[in-house]
Amino acid sequence: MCIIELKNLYKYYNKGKNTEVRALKGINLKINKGDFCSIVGVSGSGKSTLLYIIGCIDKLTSGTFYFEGRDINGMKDCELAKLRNQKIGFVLQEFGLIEEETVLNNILVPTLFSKQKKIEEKRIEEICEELGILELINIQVKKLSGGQRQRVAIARSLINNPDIILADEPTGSLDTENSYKILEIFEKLNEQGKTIILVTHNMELARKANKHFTIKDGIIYEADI
Amino acid sequence: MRKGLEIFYNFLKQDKLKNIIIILQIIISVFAVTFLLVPIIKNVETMAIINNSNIGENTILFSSNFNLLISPKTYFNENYNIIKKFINNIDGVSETGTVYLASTNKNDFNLFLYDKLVCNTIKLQIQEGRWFEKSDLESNKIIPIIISDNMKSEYHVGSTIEIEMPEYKTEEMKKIKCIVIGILKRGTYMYYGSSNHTDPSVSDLFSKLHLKERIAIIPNILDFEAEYAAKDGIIINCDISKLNNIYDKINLSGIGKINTLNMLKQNDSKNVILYNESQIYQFLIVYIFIIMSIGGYTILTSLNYKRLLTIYYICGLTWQKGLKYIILKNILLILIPTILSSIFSNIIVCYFKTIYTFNIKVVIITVLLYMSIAALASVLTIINLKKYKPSEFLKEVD
Repeated sequence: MCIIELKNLYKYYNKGKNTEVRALKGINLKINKGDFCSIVGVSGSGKSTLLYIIGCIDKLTSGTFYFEGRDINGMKDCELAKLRNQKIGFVLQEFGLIEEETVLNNILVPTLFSKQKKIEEKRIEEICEELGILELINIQVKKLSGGQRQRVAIARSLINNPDIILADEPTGSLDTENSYKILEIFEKLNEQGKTIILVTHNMELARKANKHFTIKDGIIYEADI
Repeated sequence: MRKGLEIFYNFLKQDKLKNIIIILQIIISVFAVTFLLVPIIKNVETMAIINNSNIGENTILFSSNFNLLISPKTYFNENYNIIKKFINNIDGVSETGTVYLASTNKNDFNLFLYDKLVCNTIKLQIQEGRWFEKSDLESNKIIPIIISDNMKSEYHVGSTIEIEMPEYKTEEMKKIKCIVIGILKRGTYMYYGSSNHTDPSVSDLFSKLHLKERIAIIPNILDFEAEYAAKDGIIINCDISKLNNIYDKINLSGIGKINTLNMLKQNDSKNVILYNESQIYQFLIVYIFIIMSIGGYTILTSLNYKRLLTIYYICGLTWQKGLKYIILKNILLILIPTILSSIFSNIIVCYFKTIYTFNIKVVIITVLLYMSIAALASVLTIINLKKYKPSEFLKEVD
């Protein structure tokens, strides 16, 4: 089942001005439910822009974008917010965590915006145990190591049980050992049925995915790496 | 609702130190604003009362000389009557009027007696019922009485009050039946009739009625000679063409000083305008500094929220809702300390400068002024944050 479909998608910044940047040029992409995709490209190639559009953070300039068969273009801000909350989980390079808050409060951030009254403690425990951060739950994020922080970010992305995890250079700030541990987590999540889109410039990590794409000057190519 | 409060609390607890600095700035500046606003408001209110009174060309104010043997403390009937008789006998004087304070503590309020001329000239603000009319000023079996707002729970317009007054010569207490014809406006200005001999002014005659001060006013139409203390300001109704004669007679006698109320009123107006102008300039300078410090700091602090806002955005908050939380945070962070410190600083000002009484208008104006800073800071924050796209913030967060 196709979860994401992009047709002839363009993204321009500062359109019509002298400073116009053509970040994405005619992207056509299909991602099925359960896929583990990697998108590789050099800095400034447009890979993060593509990820933000898929994650409903940024808007496309032209083309069409279907998320689970629904056209994203006509959606209101509140519908997009609901989609980000319920269907998408984000993992960022620098983790995007609230430093002064505890691990638990960071993990629970997406639940603040969902209609679900309360998340079962058992579910929080399960996620944290699986990611090896159960004993850290009441510790402030600023006291954690990089690897631990990224696990917290992954736990946060999973709390609302989304269908798709978008990871933007998730190992960019980690050492090799921690990078592989994080990758193992993504592999495990993919085995459990989650769709993973991993943006990286690390070819070794990208090879672990089962679908590979390369992005160059705003144009995407299916790659065999 | 609970989740909304939780999100709001998360916004509030970010940048604790900066928020504490904003609160401290508010507390300190509210004190400065209150010290400047209290006299301005008092002057404006006093002028309104003066302008409302029936002060005509032919009304003059006599301020007695404190250095005379007749000091205010000895201003009981005999001494006072000597002065009054002297003034009344001057060619051109048609009527004199004074305020008296009943010298007894038998009543559970301060009882003031107004001469007919005072009743006709000064009209205090009434919230219920009416002020004295001509028919009230003739000798009646039942005396009309006007009471302060804080006696409203015990009496209403139409109810009777029995007051006690000592008879001057026998010191025998006499009971007098009064009927309530009016209730003074809460916190209005009361005509006490005190006048400063060296520098007489109309505004000295009035003072804001303290909220806890229980007072009652009756016209001075008693059918016996009561014991009371007279106030040192006497208003005189005269033939204006004989003003020079009256002026000479009083000046030569050395008992006091006279000025036409109209002239004093104009002087007062000029002084009030001059005083208020200087106060307003000072106030504007202080206010500009406040806008720059509190407003600027609030904007800077709010811009720091873009990280939290972006994290919340990727987790499912809309950008608009996030901005609303920041505005709400700005408003509450400024509103609550402003209200509390404004009330507190008003109490402090009134405690140290007893000529002022607590005035809710000062609190309201202060709150409105600070709300305008919160609104300005919020608008500028939104303009700044709206220029950016969440994806740009995300690159910064990342």
